[in-house]
Amino acid sequence: MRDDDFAWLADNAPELFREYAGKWIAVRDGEVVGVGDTATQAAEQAHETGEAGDFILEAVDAEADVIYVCP
Amino acid sequence: MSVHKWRRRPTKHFGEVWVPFAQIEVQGADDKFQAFSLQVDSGAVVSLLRRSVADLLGLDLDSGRRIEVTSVGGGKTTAHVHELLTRFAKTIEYPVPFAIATTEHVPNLLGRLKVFDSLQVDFDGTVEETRITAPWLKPKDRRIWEFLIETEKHILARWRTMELPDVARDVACRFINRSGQVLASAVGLMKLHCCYAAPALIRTMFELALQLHYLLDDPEARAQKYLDFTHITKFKRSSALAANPIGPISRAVAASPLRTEGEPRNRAEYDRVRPQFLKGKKKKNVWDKWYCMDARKLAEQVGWGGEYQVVYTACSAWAHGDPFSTEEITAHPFAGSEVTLQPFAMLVSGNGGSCPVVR
Repeated sequence: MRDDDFAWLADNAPELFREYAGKWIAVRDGEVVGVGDTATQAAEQAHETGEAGDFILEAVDAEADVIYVCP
Repeated sequence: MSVHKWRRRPTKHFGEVWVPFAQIEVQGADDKFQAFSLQVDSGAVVSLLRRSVADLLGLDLDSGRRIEVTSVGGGKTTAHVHELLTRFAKTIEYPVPFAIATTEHVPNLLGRLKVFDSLQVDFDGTVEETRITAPWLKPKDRRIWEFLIETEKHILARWRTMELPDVARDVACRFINRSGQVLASAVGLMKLHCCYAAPALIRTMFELALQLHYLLDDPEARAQKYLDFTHITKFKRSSALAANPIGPISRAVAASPLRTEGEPRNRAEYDRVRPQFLKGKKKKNVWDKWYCMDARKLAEQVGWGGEYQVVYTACSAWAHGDPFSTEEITAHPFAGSEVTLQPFAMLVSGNGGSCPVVR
């Protein structure tokens, strides 16, 4: 588990939202190492600077008050 | 247990709000796990992921069962359900169904199916975090738990019909209520997977049960004796505090102006009840227990001598940090024994549970 990176995402949520709303980001060791419109794009950028999978991915939602109901 | 901090996020109508997020790891087609941070949504039946996650994990999106997901606003999106091995903490890992949308225009959500109904998910607004913990009961333990709850109901129902003098009922209720408090504490610890402290609680329950049993063998006289013993404890405790004013609390007690009035009253009550609790042939000292014997004798008197040896001595050894009790469970002859013996093995040796071990 990438506990430190998850905590970093929480601690920096307002700044990350301002900069990356609507994007996928990959975070490794407290640093955004990949940005893209899709998970694959963000992951590919992250792969360039480290091992595959050694980062956490998040889609920074542009709107927080959309509620989804899945059947 | 894993702890997941919440985020502040702007909304259209409510300003900035806290949004629960969680970290999970999902296994891809290459068997490797990828970490995701996603919003926790107790309103979503199933967890939801965007289209590109399927590509990233090497999944054939269309091979999953096709469903439609609907936002509360009415927008519909097609998704395909895939069951993916998911890790919630270092020790919690099992398959979870995910609806993977055919578009990127949905939020990633951790929904209820196989998450809320399989784990303990504790949203704690006090510290803005969600704690995800494994179930506190396994299926077979749940049957035992339900049996215990039923048994408790029957006992309490019978208790209400039991004829007892008022004074005895009052004292018995004190024991029963204290047991209820201890049991509630035990459940709290079990839910946190911290039941390694169980021996201390079991010892307390055992002592309460012994006293209740002893009380009910001669209810009226023994209940009065129990209440009288209050004066022994009160006098001894206040005298000890006043005689040793070492530290701020005892100094405050020693300097209290209420002593002039209270001490003679306490002394008089103590002298009144003292003859019932004298010990030894010379009758000089006072028992430190209202039942005027040690716990072993009490257990033997109520017919629980064997249980005393099995339960009470083991739990007492644990509570006092006896060297046998602090041995690691792996070093104990019960290690590796049948599952049913494990709780007992935990009682008599080692910490057994999920308590962090200092080396």
